[in-house]
Amino acid sequence: MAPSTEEKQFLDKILEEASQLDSPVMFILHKMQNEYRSIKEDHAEYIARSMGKPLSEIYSAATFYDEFKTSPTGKYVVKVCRGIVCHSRNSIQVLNAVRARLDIDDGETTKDGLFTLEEASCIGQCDGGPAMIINGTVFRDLDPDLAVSIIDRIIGSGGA
Amino acid sequence: MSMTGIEEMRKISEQRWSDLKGAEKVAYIGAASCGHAAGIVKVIRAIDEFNEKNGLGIEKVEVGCLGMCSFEPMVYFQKNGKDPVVYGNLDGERIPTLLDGIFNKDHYPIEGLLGVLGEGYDDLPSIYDHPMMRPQRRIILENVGRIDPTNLEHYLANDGFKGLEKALKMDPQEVIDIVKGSELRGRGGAGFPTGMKWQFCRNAKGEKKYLICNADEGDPGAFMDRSVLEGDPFRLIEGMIIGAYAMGTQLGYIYVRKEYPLAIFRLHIAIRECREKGILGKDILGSEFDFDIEIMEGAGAFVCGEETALIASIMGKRGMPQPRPPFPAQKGLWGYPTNINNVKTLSTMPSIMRKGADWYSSIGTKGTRGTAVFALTGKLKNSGLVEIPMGTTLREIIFDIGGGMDEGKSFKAVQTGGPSGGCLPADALDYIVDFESLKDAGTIMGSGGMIVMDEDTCVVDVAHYFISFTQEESCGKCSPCRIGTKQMLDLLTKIKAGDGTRKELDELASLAWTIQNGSLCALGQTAPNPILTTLRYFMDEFREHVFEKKCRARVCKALIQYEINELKCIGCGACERRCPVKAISEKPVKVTTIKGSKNNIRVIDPGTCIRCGLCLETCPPSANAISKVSPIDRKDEKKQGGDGK
Repeated sequence: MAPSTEEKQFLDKILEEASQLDSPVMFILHKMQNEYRSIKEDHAEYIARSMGKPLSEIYSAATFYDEFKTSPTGKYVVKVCRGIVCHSRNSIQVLNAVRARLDIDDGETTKDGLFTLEEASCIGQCDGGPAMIINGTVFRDLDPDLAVSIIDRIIGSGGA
Repeated sequence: MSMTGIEEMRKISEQRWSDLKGAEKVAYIGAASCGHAAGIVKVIRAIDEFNEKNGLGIEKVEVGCLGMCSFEPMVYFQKNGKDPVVYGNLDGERIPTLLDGIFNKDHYPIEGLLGVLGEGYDDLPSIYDHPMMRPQRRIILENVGRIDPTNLEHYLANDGFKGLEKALKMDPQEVIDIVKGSELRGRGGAGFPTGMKWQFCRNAKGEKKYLICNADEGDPGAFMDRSVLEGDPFRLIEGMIIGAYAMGTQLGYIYVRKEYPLAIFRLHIAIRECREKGILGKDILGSEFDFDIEIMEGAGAFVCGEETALIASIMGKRGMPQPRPPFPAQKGLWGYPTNINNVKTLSTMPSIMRKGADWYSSIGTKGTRGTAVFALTGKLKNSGLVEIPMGTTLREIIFDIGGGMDEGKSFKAVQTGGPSGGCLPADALDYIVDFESLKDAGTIMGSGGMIVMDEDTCVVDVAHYFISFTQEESCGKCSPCRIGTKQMLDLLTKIKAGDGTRKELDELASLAWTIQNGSLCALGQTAPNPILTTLRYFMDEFREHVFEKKCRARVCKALIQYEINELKCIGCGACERRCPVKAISEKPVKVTTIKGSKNNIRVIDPGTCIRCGLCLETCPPSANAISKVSPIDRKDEKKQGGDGK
């Protein structure tokens, strides 16, 4: 499979931006992950060819970091902090509540593609744990009910 | 912009700053991550509403975090050009009365009042006399919480870029000599003398050089760098330019965690602003020195905090450490000489350049000059971000600044240095904070996480937590770390499950030695530290888990039970409905409820119970019938004919 014309346009655009940079690969991977919620194989091939690099180089980075996925994440990535302070404030109950609400385990994505659930190592909100981060928005001082109500709010808004 | 250009801009900035400080009505709003999450948005909305309705004309300024995180959301109100008065734990509902009191009735309501941001006046105390602030000495955090972090004028008006101006007029070697003279040691954790490190990089030959700021803060319990980045990004940029000038580097990176979105956002604003004003880019302040900074977002790998792994990551490779030598100063990013410093190290530079080496080296202890920034968290009254001179005791930090233990619990341990550090017991509270002292005590200073634990914390569980963290974050390159941490985790899991024997205890100690000595990088070499210190200081608790099958903190699930007190149970059935595994059932013993109906009391079947604790949470406080018990204690009590209390 090859990237569609639209996808090529996007990839060319980020390649162009990246060409200005001293260290382009991570920048490109972040952009791809943000746009397509995963690093697709054909995209990685296209990028590697355009950059004159072996595919293995792009893929070895894409498969090392937690942030990059080879299969698409949900529209919302819910990362529940499992740092030591959150842990001592029962973050496990928050995690269990979110697991139960979404009916998925960590690392899984809901069938409708709306949510991916992850355990995060400390996200540095220790003065307000338990905490979670959803697509760049931090939620703190959680309890199981509050965490579920935040998920419900996203579902209620039609995932917009 | 030339040097004279910045002087003119500073004059304008100072004028604007003093206009602001003299303004009639201002609300300074704590808008770091902590404030946002604590609900500052609702407070802002309430201020806006009241302001509009009453035509007060209150000006709003967003500032960073003062570090008193347990008092968020915070707003400081300034009236008639007097130093602003800080209010904490605000909510939207209290705003109208507060604003009405302050601005209409000339009365500062006492509720939530923390003090004046400056010297006290009219019976109002200074916030710097607050127990949380008094022992502090704020250098890196000087501006944090006082200025709008995205406003270059605020930074300039508060001595911003004065250190850089001074440095640019010197020979680069003179700058390094000042850093050497200050005796500053790197704040990332290893404590290597910064001046010496800079000298290595300056002396190294290469057609280009790099300066990297390590903002990949990932230690559990640490958020110092986040607060500095969110609260005063210009200071880091100034520190980086000073370093770049001293070492002769052309490009700098800030490698920052993706989990810090607000910090990244503010850094982007600050860098853009500096480029526009000629503080970054070509011919900085007319000095013919060129330097620029790029932000590199991390991608969720803790090991990238290790410098060689960080460099690999910037190059778009797997974040795996390399053996040293060659050190990055000789052969780093893309093979060129590279210097890597922590956020706090670089953020100290503007002050050192401005005030001189002697000033800095007069603060702190003989071996460790200056201040330490700690993220104080855990089971204490006041958690937050504090900066204290080196030499302060752990006791002062925890009991004076932190206000002691929360909810009347007793102190058990303090953990510093994250997964590379250790846990210290109450006996060690009189150790002072500096690199050597904490090393003597068995832990490390680390980059500044300080987690305080109370009697409800199980140290075996803590050791288990940290080793599961390092096991997860091990990059997998070398076997002592990859396999050793997994083995340790298995041993601790066994002990927590009540299946431990003397063999497991002995193996823990011998494995620790292997991992320490056999691992390639600091992540592996220090991974056993949390276990070694807990074994050293809390052996009793390990023994209890192994030989008595008892967890005194009642944390390890296999060693505890939940029980319903038959005399207290009111038969409401709330626990039975909440129990996820149907372990709770009725027992034909009737109790009369307040409403007069007769209910059966409930019992828990320990065989079915998964010890999730939901029943304990659900039981109405008026009944308080459910408790966590250690079965061993119960047996002992029965033997002694105790009543189970």
